Amino acid sequence: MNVLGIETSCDETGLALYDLDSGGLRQRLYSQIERHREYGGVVPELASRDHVAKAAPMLRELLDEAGGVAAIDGIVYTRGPGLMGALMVGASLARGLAWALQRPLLGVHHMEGHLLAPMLSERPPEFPFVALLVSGGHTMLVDVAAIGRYRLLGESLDDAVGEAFDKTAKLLGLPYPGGPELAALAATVDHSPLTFPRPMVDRPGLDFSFSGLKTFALNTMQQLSPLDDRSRAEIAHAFETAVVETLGIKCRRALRQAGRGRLVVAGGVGANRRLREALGEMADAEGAELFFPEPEYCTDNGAMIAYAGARRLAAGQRDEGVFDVRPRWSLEELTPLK
Amino acid sequence: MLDAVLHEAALTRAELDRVAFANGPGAFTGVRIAAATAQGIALGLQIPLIGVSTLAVLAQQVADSRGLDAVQSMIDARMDEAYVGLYRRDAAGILRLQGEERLLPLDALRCPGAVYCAGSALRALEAAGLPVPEGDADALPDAAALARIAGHLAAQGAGGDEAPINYLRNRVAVRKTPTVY
Repeated sequence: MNVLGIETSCDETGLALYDLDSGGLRQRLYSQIERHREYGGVVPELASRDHVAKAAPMLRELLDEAGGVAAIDGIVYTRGPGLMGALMVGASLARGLAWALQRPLLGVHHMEGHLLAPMLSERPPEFPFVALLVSGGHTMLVDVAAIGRYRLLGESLDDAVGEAFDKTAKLLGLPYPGGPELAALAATVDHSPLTFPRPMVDRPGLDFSFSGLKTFALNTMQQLSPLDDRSRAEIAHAFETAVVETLGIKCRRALRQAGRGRLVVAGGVGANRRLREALGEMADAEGAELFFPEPEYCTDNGAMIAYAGARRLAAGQRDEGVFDVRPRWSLEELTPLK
Repeated sequence: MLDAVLHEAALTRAELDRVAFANGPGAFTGVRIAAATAQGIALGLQIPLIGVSTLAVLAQQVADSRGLDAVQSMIDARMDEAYVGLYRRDAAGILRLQGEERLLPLDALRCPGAVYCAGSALRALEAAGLPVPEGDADALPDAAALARIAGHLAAQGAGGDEAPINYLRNRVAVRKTPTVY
């Protein structure tokens, strides 16, 4: 079964054709980062405009390569969570196509796509596992017993970790999206004389809070202003250390609490080198296995949606009647596969 | 709704030759829903796509229902502005744009001569306490008028893989200069 996946929840237009039988995958990805850079963040209206201009031509190209529309056995799209207007573009395109081709249609949970993205790698994890989802829009720890059986262990009460990276980078004068640039700046020094707080590690829960860290960075900058290159790098380093250590502490706690021996890290922040190293050390010490999706599946993409949707379509799930998108949608509302 | 229209017309999907949509101006998300749905249908059925101005569709609908030869479409664009276009009927019966479609402040709206005006901007004028020209504030663009225009365009060979959206309002984001410490 060949499933077309359409992802337009934020600022990436992602399309993929995934063959559930062979595991074969073709995909297209268009990132809008350049368009949003001058505004210092994603502008929802511009994101929607780009999706509607790019998605159909990209889809035509993908289908030409795959042998035409006849190659499609089912269509899935990101139903949420995400930007309402952006979600509507992918959902409408999917709906129009499904009607024309008379193929089954299903809306997919964006975060389920991220949770299952490691299944597309050469060394997929087995269930059950604990997943850390860290991106510009989300920070959460989820216990994954099986597809559709998710328990939210903890999440950010304010800024997502990637958002905290981007905002702190912006304060440091780095261009959007500043997360990777902040990490590169931090890497120019071996250590920092500054110490940033580790938010919420002294309480038992698994929730996160990162907005205070950004404010701490701002206060530090104001105290040390005007900043030279070295102090900028030291601020970046201290910030990154605090984030990485906090995530490490919470991941260890989550593995122990859920009684799992596997940790899966997904989302764009999963590309951070120091986070990978720290989680690697933690997992070794805990005797746990650690999995990262391929870098191309860490950020938003169509392949993860096609995969998650294909598994659900194969289990007989379909969109019924009312058609809507879900800008806010909890993972725990999802149904397990039969 | 798509199934119901085809059923009523006793047509199958495979018998469709073109798919047309109103490509703006208007509510951004609404226009994009129509555009993306039409794109999906065009791709699936492998037929050309035709985009027609929302203002043209409104003018056609009002002119045909009232037996007029000219209509000025005026759609409320919020923020004290309106999308405006003047249309006149050609020999084939299609309402053709005169000059350009424009985004104008409400207080700059004028009705040339005794042209009949139509669209939600009339209500916005009234709410703003501005003079309201003769016209129909409740008129809405409808799919039948869209299909009449698109059918005529298709007969002339119009249609293609792409049909861009005409937003008219393109200042939708503000650049910020960050503070540097």
